[in-house]
Amino acid sequence: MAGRRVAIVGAGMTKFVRRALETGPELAWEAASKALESCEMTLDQVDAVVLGSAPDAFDGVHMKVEYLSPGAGAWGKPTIRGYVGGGTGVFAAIQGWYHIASGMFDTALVVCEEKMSSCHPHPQAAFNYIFDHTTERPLGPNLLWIFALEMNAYMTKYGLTKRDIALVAVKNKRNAAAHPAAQLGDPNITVEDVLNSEVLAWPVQRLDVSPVTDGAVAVVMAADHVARRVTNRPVWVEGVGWSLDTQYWTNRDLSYPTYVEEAARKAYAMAGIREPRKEIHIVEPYDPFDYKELHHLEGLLLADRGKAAELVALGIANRDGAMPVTPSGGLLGVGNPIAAAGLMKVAELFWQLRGEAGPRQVPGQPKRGLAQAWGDLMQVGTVIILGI
Amino acid sequence: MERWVYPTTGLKQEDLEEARVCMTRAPLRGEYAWDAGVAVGRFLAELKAGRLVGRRCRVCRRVMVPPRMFCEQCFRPTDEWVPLQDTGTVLTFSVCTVAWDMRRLEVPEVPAVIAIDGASPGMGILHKLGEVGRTVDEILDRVHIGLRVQAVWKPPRRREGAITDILYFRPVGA
Amino acid sequence: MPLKERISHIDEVRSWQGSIRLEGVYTAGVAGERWLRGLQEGRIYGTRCPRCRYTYVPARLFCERCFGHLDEATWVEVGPQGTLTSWTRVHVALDGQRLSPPRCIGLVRLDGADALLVHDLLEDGTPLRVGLRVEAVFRPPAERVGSIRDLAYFRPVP
Repeated sequence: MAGRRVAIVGAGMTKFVRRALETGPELAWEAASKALESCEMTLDQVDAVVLGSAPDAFDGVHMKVEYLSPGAGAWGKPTIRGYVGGGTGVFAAIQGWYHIASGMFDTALVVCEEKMSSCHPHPQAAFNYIFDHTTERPLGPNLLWIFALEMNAYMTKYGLTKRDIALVAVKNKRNAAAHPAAQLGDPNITVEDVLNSEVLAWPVQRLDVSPVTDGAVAVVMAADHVARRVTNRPVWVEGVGWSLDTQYWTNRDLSYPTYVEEAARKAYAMAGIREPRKEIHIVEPYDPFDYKELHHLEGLLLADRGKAAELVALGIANRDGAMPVTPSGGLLGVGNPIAAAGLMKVAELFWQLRGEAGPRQVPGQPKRGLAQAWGDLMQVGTVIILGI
Repeated sequence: MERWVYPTTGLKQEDLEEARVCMTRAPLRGEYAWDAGVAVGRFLAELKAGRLVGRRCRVCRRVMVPPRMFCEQCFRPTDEWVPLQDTGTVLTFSVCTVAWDMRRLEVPEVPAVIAIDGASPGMGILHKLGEVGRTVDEILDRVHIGLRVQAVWKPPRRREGAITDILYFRPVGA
Repeated sequence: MPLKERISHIDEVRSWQGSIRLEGVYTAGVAGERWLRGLQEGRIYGTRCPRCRYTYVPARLFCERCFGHLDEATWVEVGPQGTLTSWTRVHVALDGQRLSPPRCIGLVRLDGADALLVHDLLEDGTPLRVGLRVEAVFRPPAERVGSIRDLAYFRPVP
């Protein structure tokens, strides 16, 4: 394990909603103040602040970190913004870890916020500007294209059906029904609902996709000696990893996320994990679209290539299954305020490993969990492994 | 953990539409002129002449398209221009029924990643397929991964040195 | 290692033009909503953190110094008079065009506030100087909509 031991000692979040009255800084404060309150810490005990937020275009504010900083407790403190698109939420926790592991700080407040409702005519429009301005944008692309292109490549390579994949959306939206912050929890949703929803960009249909969301999440991280003082149940960071694939996305094999595997291998090595399928008890892979959860389980080496769907079909991925996947309800169910959604997965592991997840609690006292996020132009994997 | 969830104030669409809450609207308009650069600049010039070109790295021997002046894997300059065919193979495709602002399209678009003949295996570019039908079902009937396709060019005098000088790719023999 | 091919003639330079077409629709927030409704009534409010003894204008939901919630009890009316802490006369517009007449902008500490408020400053011939006493002038009630523009401008106290 590199550097000093680091733990998560507190977590808080806003309700995830389609449009919030709150401004970005207000959302950040709601989450951050809850996180501090949860571990009975005050702002003057925070040494450094890590802020995560996806494209500025959502909030419609440039210098978004400076804009958000009052609500993230950054007044007069060393503050940094990391940005790897959708991978940001997990990456922010990784940054919190290395701020402390390095010995530079004893505590860090990690805050991720997204207010997507500000962006009109539709938040999707903000994604137009991730495509190459000369060789791609003149074709009039939209974000759904890249997901649909990747999903089709994945389905075709392994002979998966839409039904195999829709089961992920059903599982996650049902799980989210037990999440008090969820935007789209639905205990009664069926595979037919997903398969009959409107086609957006075949093979992607409406219910294959996570919603547009406003929200924020925060966690408090601390060095070993502080963590033990703050709580008797610190949740330790055991491994981290991240990796970026080429920007030339049309030159890649889209059926497999190599960059997720690279990130996962780094995290497993750091955590001393040799058999991830036995040693990881809860998984929170990034699920902005249902097929992404399967894609990522394979990249994380938690399923053989093309076989992740079987984990879901056989119930192994259920909350009470042998390897619970996305017990939170994920982006598909809880909601997808981009950066905040990734950090929500980290917070879920924190609550699950401490046995505080209430009606969502995974049985059997899980000891170790993995959260993963993904983003940029389908090219970054960010992985964190937590244990108690 | 319910205690640590803040009861954030959700608004309805009508709250905005009927101005029940204070709002500020502001366009985020920016006009840009991006330099195409050395490699893509030449790529565009060749498109105007009705040709596709790639760039070879002599170390990894990849022929890359879109072309670049450096090899991002070997991290060295690429070495030479390679003429490519205007035919290729569909690596993946979608049938998209909505536009960038989520408005419904009357006729779906068919974006695809197309591996270009003459470039290294798996070297694709983003483009669209055409002459493949007008409804989702019709298109799914006629398009599959692995389909052989060929570029349909604009007439020479209407070309402007742009990726859109290729109107679309259509099935070979269509 | 230099690139093996360069653009040597200006005619070879190619560029691609495009635009970013988005619109921001911003809500004012929990504190902002109430603050703007105050302006609509012709009143300027702040929130005062009892712990830090600092009064925020515009009003805020929380104190960024101690992170405390600034609840109902912390709302105080400030102004409408205040002191000019800095000012500028702007001669160029955003697009670089000359502004005629120039536009005058003031940074005002309202009576009872700690934070400063930036707004238009009416020039009525009074020599502008830091320390000048100024007052808020509101639009006629019928024209107010719950916007920062409901406060029309500051002007020197006669």
